[in-house]
Amino acid sequence: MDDMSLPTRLPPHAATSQGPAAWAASWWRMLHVGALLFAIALSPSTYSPLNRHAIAQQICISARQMIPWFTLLSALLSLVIVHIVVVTAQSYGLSQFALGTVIRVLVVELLPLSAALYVALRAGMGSSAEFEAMQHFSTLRARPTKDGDPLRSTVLPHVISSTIAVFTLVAISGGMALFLSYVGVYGITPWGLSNFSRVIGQVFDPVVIMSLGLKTLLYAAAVATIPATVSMEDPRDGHGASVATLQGTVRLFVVLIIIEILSLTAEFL
Amino acid sequence: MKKDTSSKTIPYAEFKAVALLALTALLIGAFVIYVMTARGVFEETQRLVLIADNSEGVKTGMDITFSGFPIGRVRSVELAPDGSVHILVDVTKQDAHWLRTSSVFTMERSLVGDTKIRAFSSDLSDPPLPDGAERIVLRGDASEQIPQVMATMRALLENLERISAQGSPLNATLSNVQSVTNRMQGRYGAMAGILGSDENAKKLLATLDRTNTLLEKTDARIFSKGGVMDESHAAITQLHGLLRDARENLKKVDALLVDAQAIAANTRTATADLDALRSEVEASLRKTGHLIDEINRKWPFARDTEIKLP
Repeated sequence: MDDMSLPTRLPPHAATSQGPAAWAASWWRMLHVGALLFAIALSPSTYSPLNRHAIAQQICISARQMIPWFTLLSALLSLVIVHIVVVTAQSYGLSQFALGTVIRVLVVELLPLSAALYVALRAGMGSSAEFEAMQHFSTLRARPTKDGDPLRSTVLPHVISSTIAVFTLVAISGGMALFLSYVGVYGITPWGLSNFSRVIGQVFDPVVIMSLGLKTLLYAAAVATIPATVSMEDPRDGHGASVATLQGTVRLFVVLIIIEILSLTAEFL
Repeated sequence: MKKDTSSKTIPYAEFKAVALLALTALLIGAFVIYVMTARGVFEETQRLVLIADNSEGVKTGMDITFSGFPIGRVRSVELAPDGSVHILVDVTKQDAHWLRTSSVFTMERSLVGDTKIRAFSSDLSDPPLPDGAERIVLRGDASEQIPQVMATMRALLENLERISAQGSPLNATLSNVQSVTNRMQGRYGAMAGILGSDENAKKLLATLDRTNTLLEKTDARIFSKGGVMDESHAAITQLHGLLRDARENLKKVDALLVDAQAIAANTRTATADLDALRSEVEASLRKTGHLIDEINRKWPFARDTEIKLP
């Protein structure tokens, strides 16, 4: 796995760091590092007992930090949106379309994006700042360590935990949104289950399911890798660590928006 | 991530991480299976092919309903070689008994909302619809009829405008009606309205009075004792007697004709006997001629009629 080991410090930017070439080079480095991180994550040798323990620790920490709050927030958001859509649809005499609209808006569009943004803000940027701090103290530069590549024991757990966190949050919040939609439209009764299932079947056709799955996967990949790659930009190009973090945040938002637009295009065209 | 959280070790971290992964995978797997069930992947179905001339508004996965209850889904929409649209519908086996051979299928496209495909079965005692049956779907599109309705409405409005315009026939008619009704408000009521004025109505009433008087006189003249009706009755009685006499005379004439017919028959028979007598007379004359010739030859004074040539 030596050929796939990550550089601890990416080469400094060109002298004209503001030009389009530098911009393209930065994006290319991001893609490159993201691909390398993906390859390392899929490599069995990465999961040595020590690394595995570190990854498990990070997954648990991320879950403990994010799942309760995001579940609560997504439940509140779902309740509000379900109520607004149902009441509005009833006032226009279009209540038969309320459930499908709610499911499309919440489960397919809003909640995956919200989960990705929440993980990006809560874990991604935090880890990015942490990486930069570690760089400042030359922790990442000290290699090899006793467990090999320090990025495998430091960066990769964050990447994997962020990826899993996105999927977990999307699954939990989506299930809760479905439950709240059912209760909001039919009330606490089992008699609407047949109609509810039929609407679910109509909304989630194969294209929508594939789009949702692919979108969540791309969200997770973006949220997990972009902060890590940004943190490896060399601060000697004249920008401080906070500027790099801000750039990473902007870049992450741009990528998330592009993924969302592509997803909408695939679903509705 | 804070420094203290990274340094703090979570007990059974690997087990918890695997449990979290399992929970996530379980949620995703359960959702996928639920969606597949909701889409009827595991249901036993039979195929129904609906033939339409336009597939606009028809989407894969949309319902086909019977009495408002969904009984099947559109599986795919195809363009047939003849240019028609084949809508392939999967009807669940448990609901297929609602569809009969006499069922009618309609596709309705409303202004708001999706296109709806509905099934109607008027007689549930008919044989059930077989698997793979093809039926023509009747299309009712509200939006397609909007231009036609608008054109009709425009023509209607133009007609209304023409009718209600100043000096239009309707207005003239209404003014006439108004004048007639004004006349009807007078002493002679509707009669004055119809006849044009009270004077005309007065004349008509006078005419009616005279007609009544005339009728009374006529009645007295015709139907009174010794009137025209009595005389007519006597005349008819006499005519009846004359007719009876004429019938008896005709019977006598008939007998005379029978006798004349018999005389004519006898005459025809006598005519036939005269022919035979004539032939006998001719034969006797011929024999007499021969006898005279014989006597002349044998008689001494008979002349020698033979001329001897030198």
